[in-house]
Formats: sequence, structure tokens, C-alpha cells
Amino acid sequence: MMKSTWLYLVTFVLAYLGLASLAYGMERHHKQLARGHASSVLAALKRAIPVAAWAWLFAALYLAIRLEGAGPGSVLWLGNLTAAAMLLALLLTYAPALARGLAMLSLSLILIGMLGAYWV
Amino acid sequence: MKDAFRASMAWVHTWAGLLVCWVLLLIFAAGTASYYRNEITLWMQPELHAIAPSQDSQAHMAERAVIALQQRSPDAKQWFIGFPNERSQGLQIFWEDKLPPGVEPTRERFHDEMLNPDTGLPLEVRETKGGDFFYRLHFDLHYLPVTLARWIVGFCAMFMLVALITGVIIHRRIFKDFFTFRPGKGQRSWLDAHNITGVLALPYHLMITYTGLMLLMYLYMPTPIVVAYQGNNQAFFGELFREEPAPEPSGRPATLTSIAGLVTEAQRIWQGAEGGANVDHMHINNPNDAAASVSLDKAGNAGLIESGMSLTFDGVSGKLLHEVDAEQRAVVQTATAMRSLHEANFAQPLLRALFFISGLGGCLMIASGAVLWTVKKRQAQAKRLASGLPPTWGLRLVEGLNLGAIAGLPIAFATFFWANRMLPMGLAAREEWEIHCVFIAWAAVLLLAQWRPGRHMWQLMLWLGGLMWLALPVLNAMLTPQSALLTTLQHGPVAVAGFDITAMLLGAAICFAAWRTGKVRSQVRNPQRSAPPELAETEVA
Repeated sequence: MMKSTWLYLVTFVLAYLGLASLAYGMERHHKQLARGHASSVLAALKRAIPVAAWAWLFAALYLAIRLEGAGPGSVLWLGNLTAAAMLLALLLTYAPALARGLAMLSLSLILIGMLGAYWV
Repeated sequence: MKDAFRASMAWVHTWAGLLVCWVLLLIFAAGTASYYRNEITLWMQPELHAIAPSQDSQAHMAERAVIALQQRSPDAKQWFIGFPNERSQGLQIFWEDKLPPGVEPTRERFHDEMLNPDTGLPLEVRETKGGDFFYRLHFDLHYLPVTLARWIVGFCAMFMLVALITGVIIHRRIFKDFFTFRPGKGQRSWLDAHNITGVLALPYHLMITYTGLMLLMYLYMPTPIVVAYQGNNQAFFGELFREEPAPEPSGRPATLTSIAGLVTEAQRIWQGAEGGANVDHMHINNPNDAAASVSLDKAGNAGLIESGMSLTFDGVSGKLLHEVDAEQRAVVQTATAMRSLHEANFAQPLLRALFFISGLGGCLMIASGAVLWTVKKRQAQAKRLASGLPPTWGLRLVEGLNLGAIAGLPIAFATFFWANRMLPMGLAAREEWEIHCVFIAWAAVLLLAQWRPGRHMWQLMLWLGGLMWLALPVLNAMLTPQSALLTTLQHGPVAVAGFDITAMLLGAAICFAAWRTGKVRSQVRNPQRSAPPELAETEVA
């Protein structure tokens, strides 16, 4: 039971990461999210990150369906997308640094989790 | 051509939305609250908070319920027993009086009571409609004949669907502005808020509006049943839901079979079924009559939809008469799929919370759309207003209605909970009075809003609503100390603690809106901070 509660949160983290990555490639939000990146890698990242976004979003969908089955799983996925998008929009407006920080944190958590799953 | 199409769709969007927005806001807000129907009911019955979940078997509970029902109404038309579940801890009994022939049936013939599942003794609970008020309000409104109300709700839902589709068509920058909210910029900010709440929860809005219409389609589209079943709705639903029609009473008394035994038998038959083998609820038709029958419905969902499995036994011999098993339930499941999706019956707590958030998004979308209309109209009448003339009557009316509906609704809903704690326990028709209080409060705000629909009144009403919500946990702790947040956080029920926390969050959000309203005013007074001229660029109409 405990384990699956964790996985529900992972679905949300993946959705947030995916949407933030999409925003990274958008004119209006790129500057807000890309601060701190060296200019030489910026151009490459600006193309690569939004592509990776779809991988995160599909991973969230896959996980949601694994957790709940196809029907409720896709509802869960859409609900997570809505909630994550609302959070991201609010953060981009009022605290863009936090939006960036949360995206980085999500990315680290997911990568660590993937590594952990690989080793275990 | 494309622009002309967009412009005409913008016209449809504006007027379809404006015409129904106030009723729609009520429907949306009540529906959103209904996701926590059981939790709200529990909060409103503080007498139940100290009861621990029962560990006893369903067979024993059924036995106690039958003893209670035999005492209360041995010759009822039907009995109902609802077993405790994760979201409601009492043992519910319900009975319907047998009416002499020729007597017009009224709601007076229904009775219900809550029992302690471990003792079978009645729980002394204050009279309240609880979360059922919001559930009914969502599609039956109030003070109106049910059929009329459902037609009004259906009309509003249809307009909502039109507004959603036209909204997508006229939104030029749906992806570019996906995450964009620019506060403090007058009309643009309202448009951003309207867009963002609409677009980000669009899958939910489309689903909820469509399934909502489908739920009442038999009312809106009666002709197929009229033609195929000669208008006999009962026969249609009986076939659809695989229900055997309740037998007519024979008039010959007979001893009821052991109900507890039937519960055990049902659990044996359902052993290993998806969602467990427990009973959700049971009906006993014609108790103590030779023509008695007992039907049991299985608890637990199968994926998106309810289990749909049921058993019917002869009430005297205890023989199995009829079974809807895993194969046959497909029909029932198909018939209830839309309802399940609409009401989130399948959703575990986390997913339920996401439905709730999306519902709140819908309320904000409707409210911001309504305000946007007045902001635009004020812009259009800027010259007239600058020369000292009052706004046109249409603008004034809409401004008043907006204020009354948007700022008044939180006050009205909060009043319901205040009344629940403050009305005396012995008051006659107490549960009705809780509801009257809601509409008295709301009517007062609507009148005040028509009298002075200005920014001052907005501020005042938003502060009032926000503080009423913020103070709910305090009121709860003062009048029902055993249900105070500090107690429920430690000892449960979790739902009661969750209610208090949600009330505070809602209150804080409304207070924030009140504070912003005051802040914007000081900006507007300063002419340099008024809306920039390039506003027309992203305007949709």
C-alpha cells in the first residue's frame, strides 16, 4: 500500500517534469527556466529538452495505467497533468526560480529513482 | 473567412456563456463539493466522529439492522440496509411505508436512521442533509419542481458545452499561452485567468459536461422509451439494470428467512470476485409477507465502473431466484459507466482530490469569464463613464449579478456549515432550516449587490466569505470540542480533519482575492498604471 502511494506521487512528478520541459522550449518561458545554463549549450538544450518532455509525459501515462488500469489510469494521468500544469503556471508567474528549482529536483529524483531501480 | 468564423464563434461564446454563467457557477460549485459528499455529511454529524470503524462481520450487522427494522416498521413496503464502508461508518437503515390504495405518494413515506454497527442502537445524530444537499442542488436545484430544475440544469449544461467548444475555436494562442498568467494588467489578466483555468482542465470540463448531459438523457430524449416501451420507464430501467420487478405483496404473513444467512451466502458466492466479496447494500421487499424477496448488491468497483453484481433471494425460503454475475453485469456497467466517470465513484482519495481541483478550476473559469465580460464592457463605455454618466443598465445588472453570484456563493455555502453547528438541536425541520439559511444569506448578498455593485461591495463580500470559511474550524472547535482539528488530526476521522483544512485553504484563497481587489483599486486610481493600449492585440472578440 505504502509503495503504491509513492508511485502516485511519482506520476505527478513526471507530469510536472514533462510540462516544465515543454515550457523550456517556449519563447515566453525559456528565459525563466533556462537561467544558469551556459549559452553554448543553450541552443542544443532548447531543442533537446522539449523532445525529452514527451518521454516524461508518456512515462507518467505508462505508470498511471500500471497503477490503475487503462480506464482509471488515463483519467489519473489527465488529472495529474491538470494539477501539475496549474502548479507550473502559478510558479512561472509568481516564483519562476522555484519553478526551475522544482523541475531540477524532479529530474534528479527521477534519474536517481531510475538508477536505483536498475541496480536493485 | 477564417477571421469571420472566429468572430462569429466569439459572439456565440460570449453570449452562451453570459446567459447561463450564474446558474452554472452554482451547479459547478455544488458538483465540486459533491465529490466529498460523504465527508461533508460526516463533518456535519459530529456525534459520529468518536465512533471507531466496526470490525464485526456484515452478517452480524445485518442481523442487528433487521431487529431494528422489525421494531420500527414490520409491514413496510421495503427495507434497505446500507453497510459501513471507508467513507461512512454508520449502519444505515431505511424503510418505505406501505400506502393504502389511492393515496398519493409523497416523500413522507420514506424514513431513515443511522445505527451503531456494533450495537444496533440508534445514533443520536443532529438532523442534517449533509453533503446530500450539494449533491441534490447540483442537478435538482432547490425550491423548484424536480423535472423543471433538471431541464434548467440541462439547458445550462448544453450552453456550457457550446461555450467550451467555441472557446477552443476562438483561443488563438492555446499552446503559446498554455502556462501564461499575467496578473495586475486589467482585462488581459482576466482573459489569462479565464484561458488558463479553462485550458489546463479542459479534458475534465469536456468530460464532466458531456457525461452530465448523458446522465439525464432519458429525461431530455424520452421518445425512444416512449416508442419502444410505450412510455413505461420502469420497464426500461428494469431491463437495463437487470432488476427483477419487486413482487406485489400477497397479503399473507410469513416468517422472514435469516437475513444474516443470506449475507453469508452472498459472500460465499462472490468469493474471489474483483473488488472483494462484501455487500454494499441490500433491499428487502415486502418483509414478513409470503411474497418477500431480498436483493443484495456487491461492493467494490471493477476498474472505472461499479461492480454491478447482484443476487436476489426468495425472502421466505431463502432460495436464490436471480443472479447478475460477472458476465451479465457488462450491460449494467455500460449503463452506469458515464455516471461513474461523472461522479468519480471509482476514484481512490488521490484521484478524487484531482477531480476536486479540476472542479475548482471550472468554478474559476466561469467566474473569470463573467467578470471579463463586464471589464470589456467598461472598456467599451470608457468615454461615457469618463464624462460622468452611469454605466448602461445592462452592464450594471451584470455587474450586480456577478457580485452576488461570485462573492455570494462562498458566503452562502459557508452559511450552511455555520447553521449546522449553530441551529438548536431540537428545532423543528432543522435540516430544512440549514438549507433556508443558505438561500437567505445568498438572497441578502444578491440584493446588496444590486444596490451597490461597486468595488467596495466586492471587497466587503469577499472578506466576509473568506473569514466565514477561515473561522469554520474555530467554530467547530468551540461548539463541538470533540471534533476539533487538533483532536481529529491525532485520532481521526481523517475526513473531518481534511474538511477543516480545506475550509481554511478556501478561506485563505478568498481573503487573498479580497486583498487583491483592494490593491487593484489603488492602482486604478493612479492613471499611469492603467491598462496598456496594446491590449486589443490578443483580444478575442
